[in-house]
Amino acid sequence: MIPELEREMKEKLAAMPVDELVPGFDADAEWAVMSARLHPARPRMISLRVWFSAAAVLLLMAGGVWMLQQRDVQRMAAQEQHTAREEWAASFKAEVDKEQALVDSQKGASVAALPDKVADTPKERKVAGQRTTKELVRNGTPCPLEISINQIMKCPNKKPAAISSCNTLEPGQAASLGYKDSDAIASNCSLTVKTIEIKSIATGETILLDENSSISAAEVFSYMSGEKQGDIYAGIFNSDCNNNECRHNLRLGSREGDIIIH
Amino acid sequence: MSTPSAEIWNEAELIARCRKKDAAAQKIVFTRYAGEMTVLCLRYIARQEEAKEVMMDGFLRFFNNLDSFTWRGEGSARAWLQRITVNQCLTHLRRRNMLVLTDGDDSSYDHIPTSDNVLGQLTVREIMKMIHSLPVGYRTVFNMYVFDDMDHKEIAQTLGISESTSKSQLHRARAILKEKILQTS
Repeated sequence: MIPELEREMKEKLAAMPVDELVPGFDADAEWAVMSARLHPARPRMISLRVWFSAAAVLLLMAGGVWMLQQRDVQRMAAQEQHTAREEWAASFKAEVDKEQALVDSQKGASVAALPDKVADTPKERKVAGQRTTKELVRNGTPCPLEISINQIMKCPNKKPAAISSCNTLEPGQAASLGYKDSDAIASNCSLTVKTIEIKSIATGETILLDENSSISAAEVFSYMSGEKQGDIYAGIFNSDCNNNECRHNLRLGSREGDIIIH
Repeated sequence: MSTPSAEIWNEAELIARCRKKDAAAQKIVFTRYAGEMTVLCLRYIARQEEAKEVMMDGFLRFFNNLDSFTWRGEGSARAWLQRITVNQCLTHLRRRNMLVLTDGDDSSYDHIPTSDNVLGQLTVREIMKMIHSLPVGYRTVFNMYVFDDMDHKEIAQTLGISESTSKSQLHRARAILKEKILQTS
């Protein structure tokens, strides 16, 4: 009996449509799921050539950006340098104007601005522009003075160059004297002070200091530049500001702080 | 390339095309056997969603391993697909620790009487319900022996049990089913 029963059972199940057991069974819909599992979307393969091309383009772009940045950096640096130069010039001018205003208020006289007096030649103007760290020298005499410092610069394979720097100091005025600073020349060049002329502007009387004077120009210069400190005899004026006969020994002293001509 | 209707393609041609990953041929094979394999899975696994999932896994294994299949005449591919699907059902049951088979005395089930034409009064749904009411071990051996045409030696090898265990499981399944059928009729 058992085999017949089982055969009957088997035939019944075999003849049975699936949707009798699973209502709404849709083979096409099931295939859509199956197909997705059988044929998953493959990631697109990119050839090595395309990768290399892309890498090359990226490198070129990066290089271009880097070059542009470098150019901007250089431009900014140049601009900063230019600005700093302008700021220095402005501050220098302000300093000069201040000194001029001080002199004007003391004497009531119209005196030309210091740089114009100091710098007579293009070379001197350059020298005048480098004097900010130099010692202040004050005219302690009652007469306006003009101090000319004449230097010789020697460089290898070049003719010796004469540099003349003239500075005007009103009575009571303190200023840094213009002259070529040894720090401002090439290391293989030498700079020596040849002569110093101290002229009383009112009378034109001039004290000339050179190698043959009782005290050399180099010695006086070492006091003017602050290299040496103390008092030094610089020469003698035989007349006063009004050209009256009056002997006046000119000295440089730095015992009181600033270098004073008196 | 024109796609002939599913009826025109015979099994050998379909399998040849499926080996070449021809999606149209794969679809024909799937739609032709999907329903039958779903019923097969439902004999082993009661839950419909799980049964459908196992059916899908069976087809996936079938299509992906066609290179190792040797066609031996009309119906051999269907038989191979059926065997793969049965194995997928067994794997599913094992993974869920549902396939527990124990030896036992089955002599008492040999003489249970049955009346003629009792199944004629039952619907397919009721028959399936009776099969599902069997313990998983009995149900599995019953399915393999009665519906999937496997002998006790084959069942024993497949499930890793002795032939006597297979026989006792079948006898117990039969006894329970007879009782249920008699109660129903």
